Amino acid sequence: MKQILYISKKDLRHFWREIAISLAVVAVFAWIGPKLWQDASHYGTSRDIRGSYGLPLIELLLLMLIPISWWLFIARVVHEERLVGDRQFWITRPYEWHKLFAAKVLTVACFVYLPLAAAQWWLLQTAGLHPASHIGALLYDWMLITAIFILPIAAIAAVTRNFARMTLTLLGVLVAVAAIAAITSALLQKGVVHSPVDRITTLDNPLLLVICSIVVLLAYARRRIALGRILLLVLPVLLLLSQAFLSSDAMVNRAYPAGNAGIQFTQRNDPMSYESAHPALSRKELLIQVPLHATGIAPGELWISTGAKATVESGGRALWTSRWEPVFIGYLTADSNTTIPIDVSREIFYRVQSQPVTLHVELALDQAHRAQAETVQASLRDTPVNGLGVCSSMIVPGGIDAVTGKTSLQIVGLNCRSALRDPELTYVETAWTDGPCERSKSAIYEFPPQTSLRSAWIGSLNDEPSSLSIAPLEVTPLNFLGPSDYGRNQQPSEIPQICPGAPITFTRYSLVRQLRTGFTIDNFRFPSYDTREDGER
Amino acid sequence: MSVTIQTRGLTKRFGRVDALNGVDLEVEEGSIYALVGPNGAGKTTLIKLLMNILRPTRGEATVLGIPAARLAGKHFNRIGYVSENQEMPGWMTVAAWMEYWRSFYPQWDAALERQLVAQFDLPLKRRLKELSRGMRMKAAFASSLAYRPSLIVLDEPFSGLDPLVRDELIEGLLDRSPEATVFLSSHDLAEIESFASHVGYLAEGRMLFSEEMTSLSNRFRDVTVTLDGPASLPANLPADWLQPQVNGAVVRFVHGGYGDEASERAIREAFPTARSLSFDPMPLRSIFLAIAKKERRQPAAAMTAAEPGRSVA
Repeated sequence: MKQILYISKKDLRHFWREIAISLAVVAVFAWIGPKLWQDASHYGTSRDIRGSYGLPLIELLLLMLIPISWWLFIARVVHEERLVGDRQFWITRPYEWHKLFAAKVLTVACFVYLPLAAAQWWLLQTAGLHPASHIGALLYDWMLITAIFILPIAAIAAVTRNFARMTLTLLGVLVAVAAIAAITSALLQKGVVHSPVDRITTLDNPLLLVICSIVVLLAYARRRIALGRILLLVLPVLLLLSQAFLSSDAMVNRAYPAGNAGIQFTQRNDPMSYESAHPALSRKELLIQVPLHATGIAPGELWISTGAKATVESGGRALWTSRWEPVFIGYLTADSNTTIPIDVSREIFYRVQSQPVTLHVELALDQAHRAQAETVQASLRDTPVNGLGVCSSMIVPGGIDAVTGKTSLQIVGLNCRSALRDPELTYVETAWTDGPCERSKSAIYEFPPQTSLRSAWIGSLNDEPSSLSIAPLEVTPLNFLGPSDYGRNQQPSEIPQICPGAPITFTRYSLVRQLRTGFTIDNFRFPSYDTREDGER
Repeated sequence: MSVTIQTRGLTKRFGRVDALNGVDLEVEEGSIYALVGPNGAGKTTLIKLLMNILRPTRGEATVLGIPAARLAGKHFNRIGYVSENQEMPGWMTVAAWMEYWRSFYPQWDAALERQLVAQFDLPLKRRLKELSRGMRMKAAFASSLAYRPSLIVLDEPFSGLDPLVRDELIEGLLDRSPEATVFLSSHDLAEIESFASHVGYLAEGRMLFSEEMTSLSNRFRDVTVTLDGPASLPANLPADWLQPQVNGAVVRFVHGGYGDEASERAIREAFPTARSLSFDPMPLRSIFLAIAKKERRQPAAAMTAAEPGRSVA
C-alpha cells in the first residue's frame, strides 16, 4: 500500500498543474449547471436569452474541455512510468506491477472520478433530485465513461511512447472511426448493416471495456506492448463486425420474437400522405409513405414501432424484401392513425408501379402499459414528479398588470430535469387556458377564455439506467405553446397559458414486451413519382 | 564461491540480426566483472536480458539465483542498475529523487545516502534535467548504492564522463564492492583495467573469453624473438600466436597462451636459430586489440580451441 501512495504522491507533485486545470474546469461546470436550467425556464426573457445562447455555449465548451483535460492528465500519468521502451528509470527498481497499476488507478480515481462524482452529486442535489437514489445510474454512467473514454485513452497511452505519439495515434483512431463509419454507411447502402433496434446494440461498450482492459493489463503486468497494439488495431474491426452481427435479421428476430400483438393495421385512404414517392437516403431507393389505421389496442396499452421490414410480392412471389429500417410511427393507443415510411428499391418500384402488388410489412414493436398517473398543480415552484424528476414551469413574460404595473409571468410549459437519462415515457396532459387566468381580468374581454386539454409525450422506454454523459441532468422541455398560439392575439397577456393551480397529469408507461408482428395489404398500388425530384437532391 | 550471474546459451535476435549468440557466462559472487567489447558487440543487450528488460530468444540466465525472466518487483531490492542511457524524471530535484527511492527500499541506508551525496557533491536542490551528464550519473549511482545492493549492474557507466567524475564514480563503486558483486560493461579498457577482478570479452554477440584479470594478464605476452639471421615465419603457427610480424632478424607476436617453460620451448622449436627471447607483459588494451584484430581476420571461436582448461565461452 505504501508504494501505491508513494507513486501517487509523486504523480500529484508532478502533475499538480494538470490536476488544478481539470478540477477548475469541473468546478466551473458544476457552478454553471444550475444557472443553465434556471435560465432555461424563463422563456422569452433576458434570462432566457442568456440561457439560450451564452450559458449553453459555455456548457458545451466545458463538456469538451473536461474530457480533453482528462485525456491530458491520464496520458501524462501513464507516461510518467512509461511502459514502452527499455530505458525507463523505473523498470529496474522494486516497482511491483500491480502496485504501479493500482497507483495509477488511485491517481485517476482521485482526480478524475472523484471530482466528477462530486460535481454530479452536487448538481443532482441542487436540481432537487436525490443523488443517493440514483447511485445505480451514476455507477452505470461512470462505467460508460470508463468504457468509452477513460479505458481507451489509458490503453492508447499504455502502448505509446510519449504524448506526441499518443496524439498521432488518437488521430489515427479518429481516422479509423471515420473509416468505419464510412464502411458502415456503404454497407448500409447495400442493405447489409442496419439495425432498427437500439436496445440490442449494446455489444460495443463491453467490447471496448474488455479489449482495452486486456491491453492495459498486458502492458502493466507483462509489458506486452506489441500484443496490446495488435489488439487495439483489431478492435475497430471487431466493432464493425459486432455492428454487422447485431444488425443481422437473426439478432432482430431474437430481440423481437414473433408474436400476436392483437393490432390490426389497415390501409387508410389519405391522399395527403400517399400522393407521391420521394427519393430515399439511398440513391437506389425511393421512400413511400403508407397511411395506416391501427385498431385493437386495449385501453391503457401503448405500442411503439422501432423498426420495419417490407416485402413486395406479386403473383405469390416475393419480388423484393427490404432490410430492417428504424421506423417510428408514433405512439399507438386505442384507434390510431399513423403513416409508415418504407424505402423501396427503384428497380422494383418502376417494374410494378402500374400494377397492384401485395405489400407485407413486418414491424418490431415495443408494448408498454400505463403504469402510474400523478396529478400536480401548475405553479411557479419546482415540482417533483415520479419517473420524471423535477419539473419547473416554463415561463414567458405576460402583459403589464393594470393594478401592480408589473409584468406578469405566464406558464406555457414545463422543463423537466431527470437524472442521467431521458425520463421514463410519460404522457402529460394539462388544462390550457386560452386567455388571462384571473376572472376579474377576463371579464373585460369580448370572448371569455376557454379551457381545453393539451397533451404531449416525453421520455422513452429505454431501460438503460443512464446514458453516457458528464452532465448528470437531462433537461427535457415540454412546451405546450404552438406557433399558432402567437398569431391569435397581439397582446402578450392574451397568450394561452397554464394557469397556476391548473392540474397537470403525468401518466407513466412502462415496457411490457417486445415482439415482431406483420400485416399484409393486398392490391397495393405504389404512388406516383416525379423524376424531377432526383435533380433537386 | 557461489555464482551471482549465470547464463546458458543466451541468445537474442532482433529480426534477422543475432545481437547475442549462445552466451555462456558465470560471474562469481564478490567479483568485479567487466564485460568488454567493441560498440555493437551485444554488451547492453546482455545486460538488458539479465535485468529482464528484454526477453531472450533462446537460452536462460539466472541472477542472484533467480531466473532473469522472472526478475521483477522486490527482486530489485538487491540489485542496483545504472545505465548511461537510462532516462530519469528531469522534473525531480536531486533531493526528491533520493527521497522517492528511499521509500522503496526497506534496507535504505540514510547515513550512506548522506555520505554518497557528500562524496559526489550532489546539488540537492537542483532538478535532474538541469544537471550535467556527469552529475546525473552521480545521482543515479547514489540512488543505486544507498540501499547496499548485493549486485551492482552498470551499463557503460563511465562513457563520455570527464576523468575526474569517472574517478569519483569508481571510487564510490569500489567503496561498495566488498559487499556487492559488480557487473559492468565498457568499451574503454583503460577505465576498467585498474579495478576489475574478472573480464569477459564479447564480440559480435559471442563471448570470446571470460576469466580472471590476473589470469588474462599472465596468459598474454608480447613475445620478441631475435634470430641469428633474417627471419621468416614458419608454416602452421599455433592459433594463439597472434599478430606475428617479421622485421629483419626480429619476429614479434602476441602469445595468447603463455604459461610456463613449455611456451618457451615451443617458440624455440619454431625458431631454432633464436638468439634471444623476451616475454613482456601487456596492457589490457593491447591484449584486446590483438584479439579483436584476430577476430576480424577469422571470425570464429579461435581462442576457445587454443586454450583448453580456461573458462572460455
